[in-house]
Parts: sequence; C-alpha cells; structure tokens
Amino acid sequence: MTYYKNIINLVVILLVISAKPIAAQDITDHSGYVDFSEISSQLGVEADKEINIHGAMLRLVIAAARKDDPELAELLTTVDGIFVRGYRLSGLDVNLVQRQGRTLRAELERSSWEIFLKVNDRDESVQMYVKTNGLDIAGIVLISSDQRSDEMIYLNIVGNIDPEQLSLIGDKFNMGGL
Amino acid sequence: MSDNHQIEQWDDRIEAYVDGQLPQTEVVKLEALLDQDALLSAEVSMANRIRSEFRSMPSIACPEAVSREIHRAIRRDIRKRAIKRWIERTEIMLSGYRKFALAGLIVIAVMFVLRDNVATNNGESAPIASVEQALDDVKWTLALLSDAGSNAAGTVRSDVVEPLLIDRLGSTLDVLTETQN
Repeated sequence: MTYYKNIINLVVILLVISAKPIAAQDITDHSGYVDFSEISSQLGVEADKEINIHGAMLRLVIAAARKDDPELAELLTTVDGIFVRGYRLSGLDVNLVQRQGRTLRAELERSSWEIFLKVNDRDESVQMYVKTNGLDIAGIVLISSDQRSDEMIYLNIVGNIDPEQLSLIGDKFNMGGL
Repeated sequence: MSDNHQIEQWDDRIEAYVDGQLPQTEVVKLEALLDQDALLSAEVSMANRIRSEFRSMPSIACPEAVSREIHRAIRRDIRKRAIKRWIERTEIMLSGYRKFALAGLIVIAVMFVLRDNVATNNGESAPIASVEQALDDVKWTLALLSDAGSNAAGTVRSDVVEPLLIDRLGSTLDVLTETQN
C-alpha cells in the first residue's frame, strides 16, 4: 500500500511539474489563438518584428516581472500567449495587404470573433477583435496600420485578459518603433 | 496397521532409495525393514521396476510447441521476478526521507531541462538575455495595444461623440433655453 502511495505521490509531482509545458504546447488549440504563420507568405515579405511568447518563456517573463513590476506579472498570469507580426508599410504591396486583410477578417468572423473596435482614419486604421468564452475573454486580435509611423501590426493576445487593466498597465510603457 | 504406518513413513523416500540418493544411515534402516515388512518390500520392488522400465523406454524429443511454451513460461517467470525485485528496491528507495530527496532531484532535473529549452545559441547567459528581451517585447506589445486603443478611442470621441452627440445636444439645450427665456 505504501508503495502505491509513493508511486501516486511521484506521479502527482511529475504531473504538476509537466502540466504547464503540456498546456503551452497546446496553445494552438486555444480558442483565443490566431495563426499568424501565413501572414508573411501572404504579404510576400518577412516580418520586421516577430514576437512569440508563450509556455515556458512566458512563465520566465512573469517570474522576471514579478520583482520589478508585480502589476504586470499579475496581468500576465491571465495571459496564455502573445504573438506579434510587424511590417514596414512602405515595403508592402497595397493589393496584397488588402487581400490578406480580407482573408484574415473572413477567418476571424468564421471563427466567431467579434469586432470590438474599428476605426478608419486618413492615416490610421485600427481593427480590434475579441473572442469571448462565456463572460471571459479568450483572446484579442489587433490589426493596425499607421502611415505616419510606417507600421502594419498584427497582434494576438491569448488568454482571459481584462482590457481595462491591460490598458492601464500598457500606458506605463513606452512604445518604440519596429 | 503397523505395515501401513511403515509405508507411510518411508513412502516419500523410496524414490530416493532406488535412485541411490538416500543417506547411508537411512539405507541401513530401510533395508533392515524390508526383510520384515512385505508391503514395504513390494513397494520398493515396484519402484525398482518402474525405474528400470523408464530407463528402457526410448527417449522422445519434447514437442516443439511444448518446449516453446516452457521457454515462454520461464521467461515470464524471470520477468516477474525482475519486476518484483525492482518494485522492492523502489519501495526501499521511496521510503522515508529518500522520497523527498528523490522528488527534489526530479524538480532540479526538470528545471534544468526547462532552462535548456529557453537557451539560445550565443552562450553567454543566454537564457537571461532571452527573458529580458521577451519582457521588453511584452511591454512593447502592451504599450502598442494601449496606444492603439487610446488613439482609436480619441478618434471615436472627436469624430463621432463630439460632433454627433455632444454638439447636437448642446445646440438642442441652447434652443430650449432660448425658448424658455
């Protein structure tokens, strides 16, 4: 009997240790995840900025932030992944951008993403989509193009995020260019 | 009754006697009894006969299927014993404080594996550099999102809320105030 207890203890320890990495591997199955891997080939250029933070790296980032910025660390505990693709607008073919935009929008709408914010200004275009899971947010997608800063950004935050908290914390940081 | 008792007493040793494996002291005792006990003597004679008949029988090779089954059973038995031994050793290993020591070792090993997973190829304190870069990326992303949200909200306010709602509401209030006066 003691033997079985020991084995169960060992299995529980191993499961606790390995639970997060397993979950991290399954980020693509998360309802709030959007696959950006095809964007570069659809636009015909490599991304100038690419961010893929999830799993073990995200946990290390949380641990690193906990010391200097507990608020940020707290916010990040609700996040499962951060994915960004950034391009210089001047290097993009307008037709390809429009075609890619249509494809992505259709894909988001097909997967029940709701448009949360859409602004088309002369120099700037912002579209923010939200995927909900009951009362929780499963993910946010931001597609933003800005002529002034010459940037085209695709952003996906996966997880149950509080947009208000996110905005408050985001205000603290300075955004440089690509 | 007495004869039966002798047979019962010697029954399990008759085989050893005919095979010549009985200790000399017992051989002497048994042979002394054989002269007195007809039933025991008949039993020994029968055992001798069976033995000699067995010897005269031609030896037959064990059928392949039987031999295979025997080997399989032996292998199974060896495996079972090995597993049993392993379980016993594990049980000893996991008893008392050793359990916690082992758990600690496993945690350390997993931490090393995780650290290696995030390591890059440039050698010098690579994991820390990667984490710092990732933290900067996270801050940049949050700033971007916040900035885009604020700009968009500003545009909505200046292009929609102010001209279409506040200005019109103001005009309506002015008209109402003038009418009342």
